Amino acid sequence: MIEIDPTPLECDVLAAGGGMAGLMAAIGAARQGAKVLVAEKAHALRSGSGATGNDHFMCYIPEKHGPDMEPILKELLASQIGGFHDVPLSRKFLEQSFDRARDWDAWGIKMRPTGDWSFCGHAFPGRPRIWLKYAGSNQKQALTRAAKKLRVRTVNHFPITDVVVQDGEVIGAIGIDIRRDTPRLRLVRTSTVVLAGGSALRLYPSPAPSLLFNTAWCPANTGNTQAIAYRSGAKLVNMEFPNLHAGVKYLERAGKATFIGVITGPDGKPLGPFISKANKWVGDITADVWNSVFADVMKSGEGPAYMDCTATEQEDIDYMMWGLKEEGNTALVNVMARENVDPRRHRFEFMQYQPFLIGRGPEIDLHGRTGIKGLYAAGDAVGNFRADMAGAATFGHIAGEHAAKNTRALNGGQGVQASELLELRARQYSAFLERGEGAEWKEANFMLQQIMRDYANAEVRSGTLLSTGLKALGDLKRHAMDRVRCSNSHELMRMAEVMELMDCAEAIFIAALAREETRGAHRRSDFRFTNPLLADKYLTVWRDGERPKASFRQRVTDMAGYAAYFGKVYP
Amino acid sequence: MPPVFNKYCNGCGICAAICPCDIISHEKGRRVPKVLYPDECWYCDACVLDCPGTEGHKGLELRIPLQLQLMWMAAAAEEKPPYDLVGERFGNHPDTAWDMPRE
Repeated sequence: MIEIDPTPLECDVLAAGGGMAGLMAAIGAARQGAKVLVAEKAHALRSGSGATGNDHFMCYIPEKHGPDMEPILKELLASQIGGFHDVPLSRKFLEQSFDRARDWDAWGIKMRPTGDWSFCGHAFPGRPRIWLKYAGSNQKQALTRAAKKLRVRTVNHFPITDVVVQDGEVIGAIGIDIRRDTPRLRLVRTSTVVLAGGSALRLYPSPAPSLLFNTAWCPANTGNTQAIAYRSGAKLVNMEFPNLHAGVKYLERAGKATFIGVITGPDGKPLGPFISKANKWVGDITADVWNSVFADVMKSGEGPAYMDCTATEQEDIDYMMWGLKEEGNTALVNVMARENVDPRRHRFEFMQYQPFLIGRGPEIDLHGRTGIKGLYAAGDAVGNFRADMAGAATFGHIAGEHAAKNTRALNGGQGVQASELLELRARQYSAFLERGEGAEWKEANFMLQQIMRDYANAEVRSGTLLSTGLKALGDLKRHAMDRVRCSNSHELMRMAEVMELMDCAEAIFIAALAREETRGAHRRSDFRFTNPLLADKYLTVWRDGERPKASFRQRVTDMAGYAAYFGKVYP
Repeated sequence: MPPVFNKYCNGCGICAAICPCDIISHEKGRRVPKVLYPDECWYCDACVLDCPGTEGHKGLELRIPLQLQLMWMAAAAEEKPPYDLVGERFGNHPDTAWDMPRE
């Protein structure tokens, strides 16, 4: 049997994940005097989607935007990340976003690289600019340092794989200690957990199918938060909507807005209506609003489409190259240099990538709580609010703060050590480790991608396709559990990731089946219309007993709506 | 193979500790780390960025696999057909349009 460390770690607040949201949750909790533990799968200095940097921080600064927040709120909700917000959360975010930007500034992240707060990129001509341009290449080091100063304890190479819930309340968490070649299970005794596992990559194939880890966001983010929340009985929301991102062809990278250029067709003419020449203040927002532009022109034969910076002034090109480095795209910058590709002379082909989960996942209330007592979620995994780096910073901090003020005494008993979930995981993991022959975790991951690509894609869905996919997913789960073999810690960690991905996939299938209409990139061939009655309805899915549940609810736009929904569901 | 070590590696093992995908292994004793899982590289460059190296050089380099070749084109204005046409032109592209011979 897999070894179980007999002494659980103890803390008031556990941050499950040491990315931007997890570290900010830890900091928020530690500022309240809580005893905080960050459990990180890799190393907090360089983990998660913010590992090597970022350059846009959505933010409301009254001295820059004026005293009226409403135009900024409107811009946020109309932006590419604004589609699925419960609006009171967006307001709370905007109110606190500048505080967090100032925190980061004080901790040594260059939030004012030009000397003043400046907003560039992802902007429509003539409209308020809401994205603070910052230089975040040192952001993980800065947050790690800030957390350490507040006496946050970080355990690296310790992925949390489950949260233990008893009678509707969190009593602890289970993780895998992967520091040595032979894995062992480690437990955390805690009454509050902030899930901060980031987005879910590796659900759909990479643009280079042989390279599973060629993903724009961090490929070690595998829907940990969504899966744990779902297993715990918390509600996931907006799972049916594929999120599509675009960028450099084949080498899948984030950061299309960092490029200061125009999206053009082969003839060099702009494909969108917004600009014909870009500068650092306003790039081409065409791909933000015509999300599928790169795929559309390939399908129609008019393509390919390019990010064309050849008309951009040298000064702006220099700024762009600096921005690429600061947002962590140094690998791309180095390839360009090595191959003598010059943005002033050469155009870059862009493509639309396969979907991944971001801004789809557990729904949270104004304090970052899920519906399970003691269970919080923050960052890219949250399903009813999204603001990327700034969202992780702000709602991470909010969740940590609230968790710290609401810790409970864990009354006696054996608690997490005696839980059925621990027994189940120990049995499953031991089976993987003790099998002499067997399948690799990768086989399961690739098969999952095939199922998602064919039966839950962003081109066409239907009741028959989705039901077939869900059935195949069930078979895959069984096969994987019965046949996968892991020979060390690393492989067991990867298999635990695949288990998370499979649970995310299940939630996607259930939600996609239940939303019987076409809306955005959720295209049902058996329900070709967009149903106005569902316009402001969010779909939640959760596990309760044997069968998954799905339910529509009203999108929350004001505090009365908030009280009506969250007031009842989240006592 | 994604990160590739060179003679400037000082064996400190920082790359193995910080890799977001846990693909590098380093054993104590200042030996050059090993890339155990090259196909799980994210190409994030963290190992290179954090490498102290020696003599002002990085101790490793990120090798981008051929599958991830950068797709680029010369600016539209500079584009020419990738061939020389011999004889008459046909078709309706402005550059290769067939001129109707006049009587």
